[in-house]
Amino acid sequence: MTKNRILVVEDDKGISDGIVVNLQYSGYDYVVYADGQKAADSLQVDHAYDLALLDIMLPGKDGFELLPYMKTYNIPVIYLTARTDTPSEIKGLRDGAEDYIVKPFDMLALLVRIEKVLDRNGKLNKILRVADIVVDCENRSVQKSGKIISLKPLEFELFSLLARYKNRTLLRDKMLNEVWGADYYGDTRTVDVHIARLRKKLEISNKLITVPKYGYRLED
Amino acid sequence: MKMKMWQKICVLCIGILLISMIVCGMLFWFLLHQGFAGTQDNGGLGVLIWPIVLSCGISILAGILLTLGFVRRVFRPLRVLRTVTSRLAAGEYAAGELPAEKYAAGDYKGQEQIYSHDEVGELAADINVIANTLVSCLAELEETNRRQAMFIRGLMHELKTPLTTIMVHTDTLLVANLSQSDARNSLAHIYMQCSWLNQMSQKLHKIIKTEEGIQTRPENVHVLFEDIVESTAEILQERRTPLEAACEMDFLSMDYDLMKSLLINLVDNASKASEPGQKLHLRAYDNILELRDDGHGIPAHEIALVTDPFYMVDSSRNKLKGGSGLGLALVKRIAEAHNAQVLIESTPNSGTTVRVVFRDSSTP
Repeated sequence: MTKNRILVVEDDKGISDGIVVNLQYSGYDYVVYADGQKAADSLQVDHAYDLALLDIMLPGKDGFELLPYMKTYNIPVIYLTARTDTPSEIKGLRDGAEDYIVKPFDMLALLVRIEKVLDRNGKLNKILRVADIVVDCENRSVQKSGKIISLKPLEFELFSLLARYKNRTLLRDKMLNEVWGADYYGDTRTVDVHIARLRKKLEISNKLITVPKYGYRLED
Repeated sequence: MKMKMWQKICVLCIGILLISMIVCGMLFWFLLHQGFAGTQDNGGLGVLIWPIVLSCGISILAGILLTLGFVRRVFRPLRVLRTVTSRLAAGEYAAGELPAEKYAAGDYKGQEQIYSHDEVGELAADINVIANTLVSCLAELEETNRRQAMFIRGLMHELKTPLTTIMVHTDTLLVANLSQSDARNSLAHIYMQCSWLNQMSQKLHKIIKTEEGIQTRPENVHVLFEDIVESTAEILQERRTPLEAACEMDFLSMDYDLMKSLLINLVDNASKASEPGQKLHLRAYDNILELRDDGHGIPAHEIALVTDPFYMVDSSRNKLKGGSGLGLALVKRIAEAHNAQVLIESTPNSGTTVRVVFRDSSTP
């Protein structure tokens, strides 16, 4: 199975390390450059990226200058920048970037945007793997060690959410929102009930961990 | 004709009185002997009634007209000044275009021969002073405001990078199941950014201190230099850019802590601009503190900008070395608070010399 591969061009080591560790734990491959010129040069050799996260103020070549290179190789771009001025945002989006995220940003928000952009460009991995479990989002099927496990629609939605953000703790509220919808008039205990069923059906009590006062986490 | 307003009014009253009396007398005489010559049949007081009434009436009328015209003339400059003050009140004037100024200077619509030396002229001069003070104060305030807004914008921008790093890593530590080494790495990033923020807040604190006014007293420059050498020894050894200090003067009036911070900033900048092995030269002579390096230098067009808060000649390189963009801004503020000037000479690729020149001779 191929992982989605992401190019990160960010000159601040603290930020790029933070992004990278999240990409890694969310199951992405990545390459990091701290210099715009070097990133542009590297594309001639290797340009098999599904997405690029570009800072705007960069040494060498800035983010705006990098965009044409990305377009040449059909790499969708998300800008990550400290520039909050509207003209920069308009320029970024008008030039053809997929999204424009202002620092400081929320990591989960960034991951969601990455996923949406990949989805829009038909590059999102539809097959998710967690340990010996394979989730096929297209056919809505779940296999454990090659054996198909039948899940109810809501159970499937919940599990694919946990699998997509594996190794991250998800809040009960967020899960309720994502799976049952924002206008669902229910208790967060609904989530607990479904989690219990998933643990039983998939035999993953040791992998689907309760994080006290926070939510649940599916670990690899 | 240099007369005060009250003198003018006295002259006017006496004048009007005299004119009225003369006119009155003449009319009375004329009417008595000509107009009513043939009607003396009534005799006595009746003969005098009409000439008296007529001449008095005409002279009173003339007096009223004269007074009105004169009063209008006297108060005309006040009306002009009134338009000036009301426009001032509305904040419409920029420096250098004040009608009051013209008025006081004596060229406001030719009124100056009569009025420029009276109380109205003095009032105009005073209003002019007030207006000028107001206008320059306003301009100063606006400039301060603009600078502060720019400063805050710069600060906000600079805060974003450490904030983003801290947010991303704390978020990751909270929700992701990191391996121990990844977690340590995240914590290290958070710690680094926090210490950077702390450093910046200390610099900001010093900048604010300079703005609140400083107290100087004569300090021994030899002691200061020894202190600098000691405080920077560790970092300079790490960067392998040794500092040579030569002190050729004894006392200088200063706020010791701030001056120390100024020199440490200069040394820090110089060592960041230098390659390992290059020396830094610190010197004090003739009320001048000088730091010379043989490093990268500053491009000519950027020399005037480097003392602006958050300006960095090479942003990415500087950030890598932990620069805040506040160092030289702080140097400039501290120097200004000491009534000293910062002079920067630089040639790209051959080095920079920064001199802090104290204006007044502060050696006791």
